[in-house]
Amino acid sequence: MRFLLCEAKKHLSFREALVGYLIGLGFLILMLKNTVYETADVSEQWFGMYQDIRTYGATLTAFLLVTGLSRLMCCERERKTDALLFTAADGRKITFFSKIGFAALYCFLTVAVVGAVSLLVQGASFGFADASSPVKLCPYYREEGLPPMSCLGYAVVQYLFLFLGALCMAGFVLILAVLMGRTAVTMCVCGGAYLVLLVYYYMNGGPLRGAALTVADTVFRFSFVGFMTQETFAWGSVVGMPGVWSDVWKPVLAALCVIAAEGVLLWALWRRKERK
Amino acid sequence: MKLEIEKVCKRYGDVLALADVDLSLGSGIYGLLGPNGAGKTTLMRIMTDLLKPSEGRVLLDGQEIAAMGAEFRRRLGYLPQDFGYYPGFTAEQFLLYLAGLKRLPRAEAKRQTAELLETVGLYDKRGQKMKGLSGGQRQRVGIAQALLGDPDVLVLDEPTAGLDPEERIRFRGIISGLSRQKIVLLSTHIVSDLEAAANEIILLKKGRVLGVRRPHDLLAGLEGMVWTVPVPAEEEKELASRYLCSNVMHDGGMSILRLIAKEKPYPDAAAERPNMEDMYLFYFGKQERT
Amino acid sequence: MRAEIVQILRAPLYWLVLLAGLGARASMAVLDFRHRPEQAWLLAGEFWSRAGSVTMCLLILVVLIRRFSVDYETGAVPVVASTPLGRRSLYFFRLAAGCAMTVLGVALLAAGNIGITVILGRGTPIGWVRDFTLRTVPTAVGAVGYFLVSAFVCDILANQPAAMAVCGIPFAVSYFINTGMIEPFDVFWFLRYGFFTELARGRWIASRPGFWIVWYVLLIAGVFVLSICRRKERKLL
Repeated sequence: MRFLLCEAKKHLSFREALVGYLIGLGFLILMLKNTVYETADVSEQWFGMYQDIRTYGATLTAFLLVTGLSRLMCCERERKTDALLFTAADGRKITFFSKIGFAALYCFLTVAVVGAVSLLVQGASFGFADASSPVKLCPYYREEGLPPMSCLGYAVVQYLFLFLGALCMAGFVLILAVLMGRTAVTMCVCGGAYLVLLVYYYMNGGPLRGAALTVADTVFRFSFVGFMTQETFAWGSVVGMPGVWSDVWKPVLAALCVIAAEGVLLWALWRRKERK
Repeated sequence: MKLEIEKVCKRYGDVLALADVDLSLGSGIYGLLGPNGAGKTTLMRIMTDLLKPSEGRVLLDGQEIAAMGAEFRRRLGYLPQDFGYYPGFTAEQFLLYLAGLKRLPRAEAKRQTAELLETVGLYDKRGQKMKGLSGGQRQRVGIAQALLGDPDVLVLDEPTAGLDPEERIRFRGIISGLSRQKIVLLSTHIVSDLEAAANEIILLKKGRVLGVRRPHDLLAGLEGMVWTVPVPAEEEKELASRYLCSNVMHDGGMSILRLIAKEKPYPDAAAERPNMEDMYLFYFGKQERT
Repeated sequence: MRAEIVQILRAPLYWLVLLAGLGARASMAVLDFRHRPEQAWLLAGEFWSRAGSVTMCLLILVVLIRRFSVDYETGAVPVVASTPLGRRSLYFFRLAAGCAMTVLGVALLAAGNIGITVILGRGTPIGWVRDFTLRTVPTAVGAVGYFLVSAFVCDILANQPAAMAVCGIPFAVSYFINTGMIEPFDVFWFLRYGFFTELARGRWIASRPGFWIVWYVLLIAGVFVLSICRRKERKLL
C-alpha cells in the first residue's frame, strides 16, 4: 500500500497530469451543461445517459488515462532514478507491481468520479424518475436482449464496462510508455491511436470493404476503444456473437484476457528493459 | 567474502569498453582510478548487475550475481555517478521509499533512515523536499541511500562529487569505519581521497586493468622520479612539453615546475616525494617524450 | 538559427511523422480510387481536412515545440543561458526556425499529396493542383499560428507533455464539432474556430472572419506576453 502511495506521490509531480485534470474538469462541465435533458420523456433521458457514457464518458476517461499514465513507466528513466531503484533488492518487482496497482486504482477512480458526477448531475436533472423501472421498458431497447435490471442498474453496468475498457487502455498506454521511454511520444501515440479508432467508429468503416472491413472491424471491437465505447459489449452487434444478455460473459472474458495478456507483455518488457 | 570479476568484456558495437577484466576483491576499500572513458562506470554497472557483460561473469562468494538476483541486490549498496530524485519527496521520504525497496521492515527503515541522515549531517533537513536541497546535500542523501540495509558490497561512483572538504573528510571517516567487513569499491578523480582511504587501487585505462596495488606501493614506485625545477618563465613551455608536468607555480619572473622524469631533467632540479597526482599522471598522462 | 534548423532536420521524428502522414494518405488514396473513384479527387483535395492537418498537429506538438522544453528536461539551462546568445537570441532563433520548419512541413505534405494523387489517379483534373495549392495557403498560416501558440505554451510550462495536453485537446475536439449545430459566440463555436483548426484544415473562416483575425492576434500576442514574463522571472531574457 505504501508503495502505491509513493507512486501517487510521483504522479502528483507530473505536470501534464495536473493540466489534464484541469482540462478534464472543463470538459466534464461542458459535457454536463450540454447534456442535461429537458425533454419530458424519461426513457429518452435514460437512453441519452447511456449514449453519453459510450461517447463523452469514454473520451474523457481516455483523455485522463493518456495524460495521467503516460509518464508512469517512463519517469524512472527520465528522472534518472532507475539505477537506484533497480539495484535495490526488490526494486524491480515492487516498482512494477506498485505501478500496475496505481494504474488500476487510477482507472477505477477516473471512471468512478466521472460516472458519479455525470450520474448525479444528469439524474438529478430529471429527478431520477424511473430509476428502478426495468430497462426493458425503454422503447429504444425493446427489440434487444437486455438484462433484467433497472435503468439505474444498467447505467452502473455500463460504467463497469467502461472501467474494463479503461483497464485495457491503461495496459496499452503502459506498454507504449515502456517501449517509447518518452512521455510526449507516448501521449501522442496513445492519443492518436484512440482518435484514429474513434474516427473509424464514427465513419462506419469509411472506404474499407470486404475482408479489409472485417479485419478492421474485428480489430476495432477488440481494441480498447471498442471496449470503452462498449461496442464489444453491445449485444446484437459483436462479430460472431449472438445478441443476448446471457452471452455478455464472452466479451467480458475477452476483455479480461486482453488485460491479462497486456500484463504479461508489460512484465516481459519491463524486465527486458532492465538489463541492456 | 569475495567478489570475483572473471574475464569481463563489454562491447558497444565496435567499441571495446572493457577488455578481459579479472579482479578478486575481498573485504576492504578499493579505489578505481582511471581517466574519463576508461570504463570505470561500465565496470561498476556490470558489478551491480545493471549491465550485462559481453563476456565473462561476476561472482559473489562463488555464485553468479546474475543468477542470485534479488539476493545479491539485498547485499548491495550503489551510488551512481549521476542519479536523479523525485522532486516531491522529502529527503526522509526518499530514503524510506528506497529502504522499502531494499526489503527493510518499516521500523528498521525508520531507524536506519534517521541514523544515516544524522551520519551525513542532514537530519535537520529531513523534512525538506529533494528539489530544495543543494547539489552537495542531494549527494549526501545519495550516500545515505547506498548505506541503507547495511550492504556487504558498496559500489560508489564519484561519491564525493559536489561535497566540500569537511564533508569529504566525514565521508572518508564513514567509509573507513565500514571497510573491515565490507567490500567497498569507489571511483573518484580526487586522488587524495584514495590515498587517505583506499587499501588498494585498481588502475583502469582504455578498458584494461593496468594493475592493483596499494597506494604506498604505487608511490614507492615513483621514488626518485619527481622533481621540483625552478626555471625562467620563457623555458617553462619547452620543459613542460618534454616531461610530464604535475604542477606549475609562478614566483616573480620564475616558474617552478613539478616534473616526472627518470633522470634529473634540469641542473637545478631537486628531488621530491611523490604524491598521488604524480602517480596519476605517470600512469595516465601523455607519455614522456625523451 | 541555422543550428536550430539543422537540429530539427536531424531529428528522425520530424521525417517519421511526415512519412506516417503521407503513408496514411497513400493508403486512403488507394482505397478511395478503388472503391469510390467518383469521389476520389474530391477527397484528395480535402487532404488538409483530415490527414494533413492531423499530421501537422503531430509534427508541431511532438517535434517542433520540444525545442522549447528540451533545455529544462536535460538540465542544460544553466549552460545555455550563460552564453551570449543563449537567452533572447536563442528564443527568437527557435521561434523562427520552428516557423520555417512548419512551413516546410506543409510544403512537403502538399507535394506528397499531389504526388500520390497524380500517380494513383494517373493525371489530374483541370485546375485541381491550383485549387489544392490555394487551399494549402490557409493551412500554412494556421499551422504557423498554431506552432507559435504551442511553442509559447511549452515555454511557459517548460514541459512538453503538458503543452501537448493544453494545445492538443482544443485542436482534437474541434474535429468532432458539427458546424451546423453551433451558434456564434457559444463555447463550441470558440472550440471549432478558435484554435487554428479551421485554417489548418485548408479553409478560411467564413463565420465572422474579422472577429477571428482579432482573436488570433490577441491569442498569439497574449500567450507571447505571458511567455516573455515567465522568461523574465526565470532570468532567461
